[in-house]
Amino acid sequence: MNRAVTIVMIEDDEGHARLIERNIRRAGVTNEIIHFSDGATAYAYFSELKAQPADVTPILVLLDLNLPDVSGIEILEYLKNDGHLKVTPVIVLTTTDDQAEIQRCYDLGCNVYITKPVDYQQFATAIRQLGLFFSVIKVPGPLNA
Amino acid sequence: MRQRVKTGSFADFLELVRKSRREAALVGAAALILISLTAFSFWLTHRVLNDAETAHELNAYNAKLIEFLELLRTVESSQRGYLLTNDQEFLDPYNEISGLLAPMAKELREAAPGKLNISGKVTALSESLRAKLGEMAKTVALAKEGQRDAAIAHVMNGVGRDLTNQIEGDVRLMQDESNALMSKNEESTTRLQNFKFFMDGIGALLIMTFSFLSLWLLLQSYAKTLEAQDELARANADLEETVALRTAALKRANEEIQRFAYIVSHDLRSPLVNIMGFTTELETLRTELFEKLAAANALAGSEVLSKDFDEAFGFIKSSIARMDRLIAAILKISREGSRPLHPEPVDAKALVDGVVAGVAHQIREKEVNVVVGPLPAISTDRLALEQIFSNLIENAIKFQKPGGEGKIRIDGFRQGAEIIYTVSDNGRGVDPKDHQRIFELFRRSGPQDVPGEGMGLAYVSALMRRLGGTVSVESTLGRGSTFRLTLPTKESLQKRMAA
Repeated sequence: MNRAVTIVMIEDDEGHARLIERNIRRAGVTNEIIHFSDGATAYAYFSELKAQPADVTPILVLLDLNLPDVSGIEILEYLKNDGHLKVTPVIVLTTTDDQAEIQRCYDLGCNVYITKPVDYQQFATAIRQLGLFFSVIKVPGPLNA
Repeated sequence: MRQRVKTGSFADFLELVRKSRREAALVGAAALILISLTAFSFWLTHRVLNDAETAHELNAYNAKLIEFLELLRTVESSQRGYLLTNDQEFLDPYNEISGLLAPMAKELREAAPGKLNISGKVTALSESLRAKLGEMAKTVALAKEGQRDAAIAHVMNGVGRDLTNQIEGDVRLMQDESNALMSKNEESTTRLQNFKFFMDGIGALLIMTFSFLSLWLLLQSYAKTLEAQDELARANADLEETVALRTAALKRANEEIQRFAYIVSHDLRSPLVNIMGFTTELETLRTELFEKLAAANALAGSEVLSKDFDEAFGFIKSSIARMDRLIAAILKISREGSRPLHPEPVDAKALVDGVVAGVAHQIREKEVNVVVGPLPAISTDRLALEQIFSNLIENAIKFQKPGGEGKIRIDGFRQGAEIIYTVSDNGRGVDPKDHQRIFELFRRSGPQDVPGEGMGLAYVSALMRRLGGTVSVESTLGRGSTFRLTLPTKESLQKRMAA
């Protein structure tokens, strides 16, 4: 995987965040992981990112839909409608397995949708496969006009 | 409240009776007055006619009296002429008429109108007439015998003249009497006519009064009817509005429950992921710990410790798994409640055959004999019906009697406005005290030796409710169960929607 890619994890549940990070590391992914536990700090980070010059580090977003302050859908919409950040891969990782919700996320441009299973084996497998996925995908840097 | 409405309507009813009684009395009084007025008018007319007849009679009588007097004068002048001239020709009128006078007097007596009180005068007249006729006959006889002087002397003594005067006086008196009666009669007629005119006026006035009164009452009652109609329309509108409001409120409440169930299940699931995750991490740590202990040769006597660890992890994990299944069940029912239904014509026989084919593996495993009878087609949501049959048939397969030869039958028929399907088995049956309970979420009956969360029948019950039908069970413990699905036909469902 491109070493420059930073993984941005937006997840309000500290436990989930820890489990996700642990399993990503176990998959051999060593990229930097930045964790935000609410929407506001994530938004602040994104606007800071946009102000940076063109050679900025590309990012990949891991997004939970159930956040305390804003809905994850809103963040997804923001990212995919932003001129600079719309190329960022977004992986929705959430407990919601409602068909309508999944459909909505893909309609908005989400790249992968993963449901967090209660069964930890499945959970761990899913995250490790995601790590495998990280190691093969190519992530473009933000577009700068 | 209800009581008050009831007494109110009863008072209205009494009011109506009272009012209609008043109107009936009015009409009756009007009819009575009209009848009496007409009768009175008849009577008056009769009286006037009577008076006219009396007048006519009196006129005729007066004429007779005059004629009588004239004849008497003619006879008298004939007698006197003869006596003066001794000429037989003068005597001709006497001879012709004198005989008529007596019958005429008699006629005057008989023809006198009843109201004329003159019998005394007529008697006097008759006597005077007889005397006069006798006197004249005597003079004529004397003259015929040649004693003309004696006859004239007899005339000259004035007896005859006095008699004539007397008769004349009597006749005049009678005429006066008759005239008086006549004028009295005329007066009476005038009075009667005036009275009739007056009464007619009063009658007309009364009729007009009654007409106006009736019209007024009619208008009043019409106005009241209109008012009542308005009120009824208002009440209907209010009722519709209330129903719409209640329906909306129920819909909102239902949506809220759906949302609540959905949110709760998600929010419950999130911590569960952590518990399960870190429990597993802990388990890994335990393995590492024991490996390190083994490497340090410090494992002596720790078998019990290791076993206790395993047991604790086992309980935690199975509880979490169970919790997860329960949450999934709530979520499933909550989702089913919000899934829009699409009624379509469904070939129930083909559908049930499909369900049976889907569980062929379990049927073979349990060696159950499944018979699907002819089933009436129905218009309903295909997916919901499929899930209902699937749950019932899976239950029938799962809850067989140990060692028994399993038999399952699915039948159906149409009964009036309903279609009924039954799923019967000869399995272990349900205790009658649990017949209601088994349809509740997470409740199960009998020995808990078959895996399951106790949600199948709750799901069936929720689905049936959404389809507008009901599910019930008839069962004897140890003999088997029959689940009965009652669904409305398309027509009855439409009728119910329209109502």
